[in-house]
Amino acid sequence: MIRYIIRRILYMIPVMFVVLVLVFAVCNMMPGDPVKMLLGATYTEEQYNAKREEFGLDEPYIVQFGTYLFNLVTKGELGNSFQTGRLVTAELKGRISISLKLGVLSCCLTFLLAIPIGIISAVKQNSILDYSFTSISVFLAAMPGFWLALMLIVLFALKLQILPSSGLRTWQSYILPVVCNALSATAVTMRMTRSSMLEVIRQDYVSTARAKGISESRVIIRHALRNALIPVITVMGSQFSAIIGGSVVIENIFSIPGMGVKLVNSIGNRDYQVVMGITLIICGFTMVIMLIVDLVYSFVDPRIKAEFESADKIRRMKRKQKKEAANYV
Amino acid sequence: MKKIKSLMTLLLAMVMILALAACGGSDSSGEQGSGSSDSDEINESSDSSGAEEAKEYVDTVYIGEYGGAAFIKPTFDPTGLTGSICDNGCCYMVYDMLFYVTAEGSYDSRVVESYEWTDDTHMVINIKDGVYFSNGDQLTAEDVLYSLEQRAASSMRSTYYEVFLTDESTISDDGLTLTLVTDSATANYMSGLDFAILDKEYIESIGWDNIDWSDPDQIIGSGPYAVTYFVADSEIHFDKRDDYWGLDKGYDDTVLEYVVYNYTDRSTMCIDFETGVIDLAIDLNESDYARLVEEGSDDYTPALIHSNVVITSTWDVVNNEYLSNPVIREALCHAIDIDEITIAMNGSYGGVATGMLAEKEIGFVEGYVYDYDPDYAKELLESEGISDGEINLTVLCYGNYETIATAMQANLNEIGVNLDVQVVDVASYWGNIGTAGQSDIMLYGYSTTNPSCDPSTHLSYWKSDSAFAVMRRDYDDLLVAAESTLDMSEREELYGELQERWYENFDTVPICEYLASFVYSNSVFESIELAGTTCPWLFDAVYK
Repeated sequence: MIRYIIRRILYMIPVMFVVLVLVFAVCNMMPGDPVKMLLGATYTEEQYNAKREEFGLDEPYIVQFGTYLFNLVTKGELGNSFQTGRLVTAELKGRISISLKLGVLSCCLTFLLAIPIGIISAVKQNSILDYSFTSISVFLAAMPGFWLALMLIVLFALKLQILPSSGLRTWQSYILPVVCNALSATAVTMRMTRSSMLEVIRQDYVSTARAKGISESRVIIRHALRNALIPVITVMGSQFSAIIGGSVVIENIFSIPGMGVKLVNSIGNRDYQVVMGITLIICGFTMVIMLIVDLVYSFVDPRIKAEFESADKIRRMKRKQKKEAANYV
Repeated sequence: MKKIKSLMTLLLAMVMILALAACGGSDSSGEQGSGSSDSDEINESSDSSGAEEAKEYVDTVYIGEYGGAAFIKPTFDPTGLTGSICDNGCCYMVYDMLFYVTAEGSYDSRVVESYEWTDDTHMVINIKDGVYFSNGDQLTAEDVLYSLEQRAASSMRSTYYEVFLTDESTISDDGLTLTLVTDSATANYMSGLDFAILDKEYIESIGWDNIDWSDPDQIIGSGPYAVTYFVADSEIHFDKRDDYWGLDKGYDDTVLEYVVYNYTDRSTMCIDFETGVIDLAIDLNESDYARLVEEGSDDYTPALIHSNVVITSTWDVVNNEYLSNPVIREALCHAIDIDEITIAMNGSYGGVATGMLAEKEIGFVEGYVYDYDPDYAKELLESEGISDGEINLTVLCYGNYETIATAMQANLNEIGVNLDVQVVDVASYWGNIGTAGQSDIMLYGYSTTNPSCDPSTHLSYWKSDSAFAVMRRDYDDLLVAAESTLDMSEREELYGELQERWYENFDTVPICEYLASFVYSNSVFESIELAGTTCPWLFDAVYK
């Protein structure tokens, strides 16, 4: 298992490299100029050139990328923001925790809502409850996040005046953005849980469990849910990554100073260093989530754990055989 | 069964831990927007003699400002800001600028006793005695010179700073008089003298590179307020300094605390105002402003910020063969219906441009606007043998300028000129506007944000070394002459001549003034006027 984790971590390096190359290329292909954005409307050609030189933008692209990569690998630095001159890591320090908080809370809410509702929907298939949950989930999945956010603000902040509409100043401030982030993810996860559960509860081993006289709740939770959770976990993982990386709209509407707002702002200012930094962080985070998801599989389904272990065993066996063959020769 | 139970327990525990972890961490310093500010009676010493008098203070004023994500800078380093001035209004709360622009558009200073030009290149500035930083250090001419040096050395400096010869500038023995030397007579010197004054001794004791400009404890200024809480792009809390030196000098500090919230969405800001989270919302949506005016209420007053900006449309006379023809330019100038565009931009609240420059600018001459006369425009085009659809122009635009561009498109279409409107983001606009053939028209708002109200900043586009190729390049004589004289009436005359030449060459169509709006709570403010800077302390406000 440990070998598997190490291997997965090592796989991250080329993926991140490819992501970096792509982001760097896209940033440099975008129309606009970070120096012109920085200097505003009044500058001389001399100032412009000096600034480009200071940022290293006068170097060939390959040198710029090489320097960035060198600093990243040797110093762990993501460069300096063109706009503020500060280290990108310092710029993002507070923002990562804000976006993570939102993401984690949203995922918790998604988890707490989607799985029970999905189970109930599956168990009570074709009932009024099932139809209601299904309709609501379709509605939520279809609603654009910004519209839902504005409607919730109008209802809870403006009309009822029970929740704040912006910032993250009190615990109540988290409610609306978290709910907005979680709702569409809940809809997708709930649908996945329902369909997965429906598939599982029709299988023979579930009927066998029922035939043995085990109570329905035990059959569902102990026998069916565990197997039904695998596709749900996969969806949850991708939803979590999407929430962390894609809460740009929610952060903007609720004026939350997270990574999403910074990303939009930096793209607007052509602050490539910050854009690359945020993309790298989101990419790394997504890969870690995917790794965790894969590891959780093995806890949920022993067959997968066995696969990991057997793969290791096979590898060990092959290596042994090779060694023996070499000794024989 | 045991495994299932432990798995479920594990999952539940994880969810709880994650939830707890997410809820934890740093939060706001505690005090939150109450929305309604109370008044307190506090006995404060208001003069050096120690005479006690009852003064009515306002506890906390909550201000919301829209600025995208960039408004509240992630740093209070005043040298790290773009432009000539501290474009973050909040800096004015903490630092004293050598000079600053008032709500009326004139300049003032809290730290300068007097100043004079002894000759064309020597300016003597006398600093007030008894001005102190929040750490107790006295503000001296050395601090002023040091701050100017830092600003001039900053990579974000503007070209204004190039005129100051800090090495040759001298300080008197008492440390309160600075003789500033410039390399030539420079009319627009004020644009370089609105820098924030930093405490040299304090900064040198820590080291410039070691200062964390986002740490409230390390932000030391001589202004009336101190930063007590700061989250970049989100909120700043300013508390009145108990030891503020300015009380002895007659400066007022009616408000004990200002809390400034940054909004990335204007609608949310307006909702926060309506629900009482903030007492003042600056830069509303046009629709929100119109709604607030229409609905009307005794609880609030919506108002406009006349920011002394005029939006103009300038033809690319250099790169477009049609636009290099003055008759065609004249036709286009008369085809633009600026009344209609103004209404499209600002509804019934907007003001049509009355001249080539903004009204408060030095040398502004009223009347240099073109009458809307599409028939005459068509006649002119016919006289040049231009047929319908022959001229195809392109305009790049962003943000609100799209409204202007679209209206211009309809206007020009009436006289048979096609205008291709290309909406881009700000960076693409500024990245391409100076490139030949990218945009035949430059839409731009001229603003006077420097204390001297001197238009030379934006007029520099017309100079031959301008980075923008879309402009004419035969105004250097007037511009250089205006910049090089300290004689105000001569400058006014030169700028007047420039506008006349501009007008007669049909280079630019002045369209409308740029408007922003705000709304304030009547329970907190008796009245308030905003112009120029949006520094809360410098608002022309009367509190209840």
